[in-house]
Amino acid sequence: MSGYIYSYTPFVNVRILNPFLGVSYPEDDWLLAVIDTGFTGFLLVPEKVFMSLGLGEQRVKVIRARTADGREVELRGAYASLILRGLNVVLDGLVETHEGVEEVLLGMRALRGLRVILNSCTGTVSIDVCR
Amino acid sequence: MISLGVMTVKINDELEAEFRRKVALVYGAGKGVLSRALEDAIRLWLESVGKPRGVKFYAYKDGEKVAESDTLEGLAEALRSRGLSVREVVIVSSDEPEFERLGFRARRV
Repeated sequence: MSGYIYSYTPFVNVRILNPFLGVSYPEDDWLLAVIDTGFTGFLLVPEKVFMSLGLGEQRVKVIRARTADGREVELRGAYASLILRGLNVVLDGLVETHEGVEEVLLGMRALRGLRVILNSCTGTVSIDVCR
Repeated sequence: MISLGVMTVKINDELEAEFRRKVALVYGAGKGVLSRALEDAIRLWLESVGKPRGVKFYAYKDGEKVAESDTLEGLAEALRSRGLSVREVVIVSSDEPEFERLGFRARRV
C-alpha cells in the first residue's frame, strides 16, 4: 500500500528533497499529498514548503497556468526530487507554488511511468513502477 | 587496495534461505560468493532507486552549458564537483512545462 482514500480523496505520503542544498521536507517524517488528476504539473506546494526547501535560491521559473474556473495565473517553479513512501524510486521534476496553495498536490506529470490503483473496496492507493 | 565494509543486518528467514539457494546456483559454493551476490543485489537496488524516466537536466551559466545529468542528484553532484552553486546557474530540463492546468483542488490559487 502506498496511500489511502479518505473523504473520497486519494492521499499518499511523500518527502521532497532539494538535492542542490541537501535539504528535505519534512526532515525525518512524511507529508500527505493529494493525487490531483486535474493538475498537469509535477508537484504543487504551499509557499511555506517551497521556501523551507530553499527552492527560492534557484533561479525560479514562471509558468503560466489556467485554474479550473478559467483564470490565468503565474506559478513559480524550481527543480526538486520527490520520494513516495514505499516506492523504490526518486522522481525529479518542477515543484511549483503560488499564493493561496494550502495543500501538497501530486500532479499527472509526477505519475508518468507509474501504475496507480485506487481501490475503493479497501480504501487504499497502490503505486508501483511500470515494467 | 579495496577497502571492504561490514554490514550486520537482519532479514526474513525465508528470504535468506531463498537468497542462499539462488547464490549457490548462480555463483557456486566458493568463498566470498555471498558477498559478491549481495554487492550485485545492492547495485541493482541502487540503480532502480535512481532510475531516470527519460528526462535530462541541464545547468547553464552565462548561456553556456556547464553540467547535465539524467537525475537532479547527478546534476547537483556535477555542479559541486565544478565548485558551482545552484544560485549561479539556470537549471532546465528536457521536459519543462510551458503551461499548466490546475484542478478544482487548487481553487484558492
